[in-house]
Amino acid sequence: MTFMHAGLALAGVLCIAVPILIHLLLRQRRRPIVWAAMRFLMEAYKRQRRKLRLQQLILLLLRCAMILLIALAIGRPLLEQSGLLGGSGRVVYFLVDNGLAAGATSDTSESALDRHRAAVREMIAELSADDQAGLVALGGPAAALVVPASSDHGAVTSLLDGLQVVDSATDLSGALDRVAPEINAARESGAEVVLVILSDFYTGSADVSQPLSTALVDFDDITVIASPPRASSPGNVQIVGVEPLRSVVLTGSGGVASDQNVRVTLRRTGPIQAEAGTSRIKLRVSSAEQQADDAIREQVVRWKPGQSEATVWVKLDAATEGETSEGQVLTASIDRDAVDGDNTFRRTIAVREALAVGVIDQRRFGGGPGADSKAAADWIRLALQPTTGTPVDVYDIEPAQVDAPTLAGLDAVFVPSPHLIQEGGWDRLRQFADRGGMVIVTPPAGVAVHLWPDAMERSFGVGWRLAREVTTAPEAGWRLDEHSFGSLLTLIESELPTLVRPVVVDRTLAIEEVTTGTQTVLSLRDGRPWLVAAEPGEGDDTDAPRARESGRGLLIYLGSAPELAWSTLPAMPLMVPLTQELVRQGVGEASGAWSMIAGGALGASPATARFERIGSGDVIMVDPERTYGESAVRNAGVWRALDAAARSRGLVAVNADPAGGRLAVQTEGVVRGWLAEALGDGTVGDELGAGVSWYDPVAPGRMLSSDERGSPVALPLLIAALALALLEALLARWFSHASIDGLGVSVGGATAGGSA
Amino acid sequence: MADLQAPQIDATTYLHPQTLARLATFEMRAKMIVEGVMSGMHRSPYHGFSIEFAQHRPYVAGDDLRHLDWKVYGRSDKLHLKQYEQETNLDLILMVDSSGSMNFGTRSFGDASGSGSSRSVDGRANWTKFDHATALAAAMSYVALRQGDRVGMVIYGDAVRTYVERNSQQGQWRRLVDALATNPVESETNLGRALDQTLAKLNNRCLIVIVSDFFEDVDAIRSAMARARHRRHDLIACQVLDQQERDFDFSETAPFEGLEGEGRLKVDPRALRKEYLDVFAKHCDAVQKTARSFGFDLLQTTTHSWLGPPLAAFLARRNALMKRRRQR
Repeated sequence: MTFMHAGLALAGVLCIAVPILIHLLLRQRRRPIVWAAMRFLMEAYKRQRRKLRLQQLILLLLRCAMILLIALAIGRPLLEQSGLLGGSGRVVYFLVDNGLAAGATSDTSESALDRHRAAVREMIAELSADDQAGLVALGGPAAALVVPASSDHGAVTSLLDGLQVVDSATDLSGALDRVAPEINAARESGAEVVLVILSDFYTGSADVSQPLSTALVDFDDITVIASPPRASSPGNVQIVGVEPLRSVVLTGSGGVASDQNVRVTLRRTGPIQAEAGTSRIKLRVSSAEQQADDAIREQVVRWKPGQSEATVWVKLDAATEGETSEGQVLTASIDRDAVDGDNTFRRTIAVREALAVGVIDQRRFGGGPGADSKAAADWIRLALQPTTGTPVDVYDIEPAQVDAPTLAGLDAVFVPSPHLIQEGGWDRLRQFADRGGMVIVTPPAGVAVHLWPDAMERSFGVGWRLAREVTTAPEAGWRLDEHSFGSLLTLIESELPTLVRPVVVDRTLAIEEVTTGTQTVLSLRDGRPWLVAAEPGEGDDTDAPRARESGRGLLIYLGSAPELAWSTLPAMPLMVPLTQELVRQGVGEASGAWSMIAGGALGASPATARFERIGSGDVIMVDPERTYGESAVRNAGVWRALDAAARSRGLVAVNADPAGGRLAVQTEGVVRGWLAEALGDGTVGDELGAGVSWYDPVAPGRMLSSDERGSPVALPLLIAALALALLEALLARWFSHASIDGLGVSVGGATAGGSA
Repeated sequence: MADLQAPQIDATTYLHPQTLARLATFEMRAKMIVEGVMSGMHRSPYHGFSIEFAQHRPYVAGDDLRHLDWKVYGRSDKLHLKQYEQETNLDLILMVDSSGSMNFGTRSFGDASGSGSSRSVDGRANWTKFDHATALAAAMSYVALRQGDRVGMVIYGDAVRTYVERNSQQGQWRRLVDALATNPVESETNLGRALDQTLAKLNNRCLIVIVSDFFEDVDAIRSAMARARHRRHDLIACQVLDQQERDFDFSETAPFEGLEGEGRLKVDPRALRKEYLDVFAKHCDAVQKTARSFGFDLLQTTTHSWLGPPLAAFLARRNALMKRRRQR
């Protein structure tokens, strides 16, 4: 048994000493009464002694019991479901939405999180000392701030006060998964469990199309209280995507690339969606620390009534001035509205005069100008630098010189003679890729049995299995598929069918097996992949997990050597655009893919020791042992990866989750149904959970208050105390014979008693 | 013997004028034949108002019309009674209890004394049972002395403390009152021993009036009365009680402390009242029955009542009884 007010109960129990103290004090202070007829009084006392003591004992016990009952009633005892003994207080978990939508401000400039915070404070104030409170922040991934629940309500309140809106979407499922084991443990210990969900349940907070975790669906004895869904929305315009045409902008020798196209996608939700409106987009490229609004391009988007999404192309001038090794930041922003987090979108972008591409092959002497005399490396060089103005610098690298210093300044390397890569060379190429480099491998000509793929696979771990021997096509050769292309060729996708059609493939070192993460850029008409790309480590089971998470580096394999003996590709118009696109897009994808949505884990290259958020003091230490939720980044911004020596390893642009910023209202019925899938609908006899009750926003604490909770024992205790008080009064009067005058007892008369 | 050098006491303090007025109309008679010391050994005729004329006094309601002096009425048109000197002396021995229990009283002194004094000579503000006993003894001795009887007095506690020799002089009354007023009121009660000591000093049959609360074992009282009966003395038992002793209507729990060394007892008087009154009533009844069993009279009075009416009623009944006996 426990008490709502254990202190009052204890004080009341101590009050039992009051009648005893009064008795003792009065006993000492009474002045004696001189009495002549003492012999009769003593005789009467002797006759009544046992009876009097019994009466006094009964009265004392009655009075003590009366005070005890009143004290217990005031203390409001609660009987736990487990029985009278061994119970504990309630366990209340507060799941507070601090996701992106919780930052939406209303007309009173009060955010949803402010309201949730005030409500939780009121609820905590209603908890008794025996109750335990837990706190989970729903900003994705859900953060267990106080789990398991604690009796230190002050600490919970303190953490609540420090809670800030994050830029990730609400993660209610993750929160339910997180608290489920603790709730189960509390239930098994006999405690009453209350789950309080505080959210506005906008579409950004509660995506009813996504089912919730069912971790609690079988807990039908827990009480679920939720804030009622918000009936109105201030509306929100958000940037959901910024896609530069190329993530690596090449300026050439001029240092400036004009009119680079950037695709910006906007979305608006809430009541403003039904109205016409305008949004002004500002775009700029700057270094990570630069705050000046120079080099801004603006464009106005005009919304039509009912329009919810708009995509515009904004032209941008990019310059190499200010470019650093870690790249620049492309920032798109719109005017402020109800939600700030999604009004800005950032991407890292590289602005370079030219790409540096290495060709790893033995230097050949005596090659003539004729097409038949050109080797693969020659065709590659020609494709990389078809004209002198092409912003690609080509460097020849001997296979024996494949080392870190040689590869340090390159963006990509071609390996037309992979069989010549010496021991350790593939590992160094893998390290090159992990730093954002791209490696393009083609099979060597003139090799009967190909053993090099094993070494490549061991180092890159892409999960490919290549044939050991070259396959020769039938006389007519193989043709390329004209309809299916990889994303690396998106910019030339419209011209590809024409370019691909004349290419004939005569020989190929076939790709027998690829993993699911492999992108098929080009394939043969029979469906076999011919040109594939994958991130290093895509097929690894154990090695370099962080490199895989980083999205850096790219390995491309062309199934035929770029020689005329293998295919007609080197002599076809496809060769140059294919090579150029592979290099430009591939380098961009390999090096400039460090953009992510808030709520995920920051990817890091192997050398990264920590991340620092530029412009703030936020730091995330890289610890491979930490779980996803603990190392996740929840705030948008530009983060810098630093190695152990505090050297920059590159930038990561983190943006608000567009899905979390949708402010369309949802009805109570819709939200209730969505929650019911995870928590039960509360119908009688339902084996699923206990269902959801909305709390009153005017008095959030009422549902957790002592009055609402009720104390079925308090009233009977008070009645019993009242009955005892009545009984005590009657017995005290009866025992004291206060009504004896009415009995007519008298002693003799005042006159003489007759005579002889 | 009494210390007659004690501070002079105003005897009227203990004899209220109203009491004196009522008592003046009665004679005090022994219901038994007494041996007069002054007139020799003879059987007293007990004719009442019949021997030697002494004086006239105004008629008051209730007086016997046979004693009206019609001659005076004829001359002065006023009703006067003739009073005569008694021919036979009566020895009245007053035994006044001065034990500790007599030092109890709840009535205010000023209210009871009739003298206007709110405090006694020793500074007490309450009218004790001993004060009341003193008044009663003074009243009786006053009547007896007016009839020319000899009056002696014994003040006793656990034994005889003061003995005032019998005397019929008018100054005897003041000596008696002085002795009573200066006697300490304390110690336990032992009526048997005191009566034995008193009887040892009496060589003739007397009327013994014991003024006490009789807070003593009934067996001891019976034994004492039996010895007085054996010596053929007449005896009147005057039981003086305080009204509070009869009511016992305390409302607060308090320690009660005895006056005769019984110790202290803390009780709830409301809880004990019924039992106490029962014990008390039984004792009083036993004392009365004991007195009656020897043919003695018992006069019970309380400190809150005037002495006159009950004493007068007692004497009237006594005279009537003696008259009936003479007629037989």
